[in-house]
Amino acid sequence: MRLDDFRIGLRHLLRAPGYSAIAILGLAVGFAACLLLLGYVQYSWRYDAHVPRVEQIQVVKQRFNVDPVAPWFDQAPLLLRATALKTPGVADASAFFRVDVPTVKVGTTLHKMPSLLVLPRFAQLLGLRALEGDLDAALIRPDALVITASTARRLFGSARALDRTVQIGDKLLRVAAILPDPPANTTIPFEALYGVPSVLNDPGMRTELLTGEHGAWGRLLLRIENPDAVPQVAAALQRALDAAPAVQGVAPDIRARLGARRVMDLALSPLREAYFDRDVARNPVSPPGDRGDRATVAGLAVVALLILAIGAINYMNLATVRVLRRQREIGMRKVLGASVRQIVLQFMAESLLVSLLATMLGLLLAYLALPLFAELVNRKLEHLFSPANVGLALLIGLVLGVVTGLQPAWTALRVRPGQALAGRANTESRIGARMRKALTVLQIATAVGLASLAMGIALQTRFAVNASPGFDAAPLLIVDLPGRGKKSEAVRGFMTALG
Amino acid sequence: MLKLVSLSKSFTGGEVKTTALDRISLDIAAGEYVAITGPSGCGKSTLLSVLGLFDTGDSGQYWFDGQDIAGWSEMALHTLRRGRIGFIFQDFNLLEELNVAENVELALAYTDVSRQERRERAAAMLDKLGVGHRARHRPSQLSGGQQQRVAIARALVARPALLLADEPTGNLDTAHGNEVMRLLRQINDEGTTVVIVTHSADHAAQAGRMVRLLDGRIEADATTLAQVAP
Repeated sequence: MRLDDFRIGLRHLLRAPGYSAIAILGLAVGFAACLLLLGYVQYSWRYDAHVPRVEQIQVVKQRFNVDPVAPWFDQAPLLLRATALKTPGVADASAFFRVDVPTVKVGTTLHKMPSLLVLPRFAQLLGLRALEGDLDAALIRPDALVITASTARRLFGSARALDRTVQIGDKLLRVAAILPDPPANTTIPFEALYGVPSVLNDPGMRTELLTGEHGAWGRLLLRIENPDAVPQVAAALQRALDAAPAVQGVAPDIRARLGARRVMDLALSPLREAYFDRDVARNPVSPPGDRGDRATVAGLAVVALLILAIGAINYMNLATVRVLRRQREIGMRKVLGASVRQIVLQFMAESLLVSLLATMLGLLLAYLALPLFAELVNRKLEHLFSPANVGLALLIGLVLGVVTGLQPAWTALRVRPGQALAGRANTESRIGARMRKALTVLQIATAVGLASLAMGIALQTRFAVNASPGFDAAPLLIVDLPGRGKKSEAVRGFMTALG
Repeated sequence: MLKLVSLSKSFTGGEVKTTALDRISLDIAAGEYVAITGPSGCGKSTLLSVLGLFDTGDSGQYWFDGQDIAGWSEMALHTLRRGRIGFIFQDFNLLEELNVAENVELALAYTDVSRQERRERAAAMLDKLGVGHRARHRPSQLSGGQQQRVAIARALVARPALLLADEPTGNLDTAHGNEVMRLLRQINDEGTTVVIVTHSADHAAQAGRMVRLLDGRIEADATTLAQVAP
């Protein structure tokens, strides 16, 4: 492909500004919409992908069959951690809890700080590495706290917050390590970590966390290097669970009601698929919107590609019509000796030019629309414009340029120079005309389908937003109380006063 | 140089079959200046397309420079044509996206000639045809006569052995038409074989040989006065 081909292509675009604007803008809008949707799809598909060797990590989950509904929970009795560490095939095991930490006080300012209480080996299991400080030491020191870089900036105005202190309740804790921020697409989000020996844990609780003897639960993670060992590990944990005192102590009438079913079923599921775990998403403690639906995400990927296809077909049709109007030029080039390859390359160059201009414009449109889109899908997509993704978008633009150039190039090859140059321009070949009609029908059908889908979603959303909740919400005041605060004297007094 | 042996060509439009060339036999030697004449629809342009290797006959033979090209692929015909045949058209067919010099250079763009040499040869050819001062203009900024000179420059810049001209004066006034005919005479005198399709009896008479077509057949093939003139 020669530079001249691009130069001539650019001149053609400049000579027909109306056509060029429609072709480029149509493709750019399709590209932008496709990019945003694929960005969301990629975001959803890469949940927890940042964890080193994530494919080896399994989440232990269970369901309590005594409950008639028996939803799955991604939490398990902590006594299984010790069993897991002794089970062949388990390379590592740890657990953590999402903690409703009381408000953190820095100086005179109060902050919320979602934290994790983590058991030994948590950092190793998830491959966490501190930016500053000693992470392992921080998780065993009673007065130590680990925070993320963005939390450090939020609390102290700088990521260099090592040895700074915060007050949680009546305890003073010192920042002993700074971690990089976990990505937004993780099922294990946190702003701070502290270990079992922390002063935030009662002495009795510390022992229970490590042994689980009295039935404490947590989110249990295992590293199993050989995927073939997963069923055996699950079976070993199930046996340990069946033998646990809490399970053995279930009343006989309940056992009779369960029949052949176990009191508690246990299963392992890959952390890599935790975001799409629909079983867990159905349990009552799973926050709404916390998990994704694989079919919905796959559907959005298809919609994204369909939108891009509409843009591409639109451009192919416009470009083909342009070729039909340029038959004399094509004929002349053939007469002057342009080979099949040179004709194809010329139209490919023009198509690539349009496609790359549209890609760049599409990237700009997507960048401008990103905040609104991120709010719409309720996900943090600010990393969508990473260098790798922009590079990938340009690559898609290149491929699109080649694909959309095929039909115009093929039409150009069909031009018969003798007739074209004698002013008896032959019309489109029968096959070419059929192909173009088919593409037009496909384009319109897809556009109508997508428009109907969008309208359906809009109507449903409007209905949901305007539906009556069955009570008058206007005079209600919602007060969000931290977990421990709910039991305090002050809150109880406040509730009593409310009457 | 060119030899047609009982060559026929027909077109089918819907259910109607039209015979454009009917068992044409024609021999054109290198260096000849041949005018093809005849009424509209007699097959002149089709004959020129076949001679120029744009089209092939349905039956019969076409020998080009001693090679029977029957059954050759489009790619092979393209290779044979490149640089050996120059074309001039009634509508000039200059590309508006290119300036005058670029239009002429285009004839060398698909050859191995370097960019520098392309520029030099195009400039020299434009100068020779008296339109060198218009090299940076767009074709639409030129008069019809000037455009046809540019088209001739484009046809000749690759130094073809054969020049085919389809009604080259059809869109020109008398003065410009005569000027173009004078140029074609000069080109032929320099050794290039010229085949011209024309309606004009005067212009045809300037060729050394006149072939008259009627209904796809050769009605007459005669040496003109121009050939025998001293």
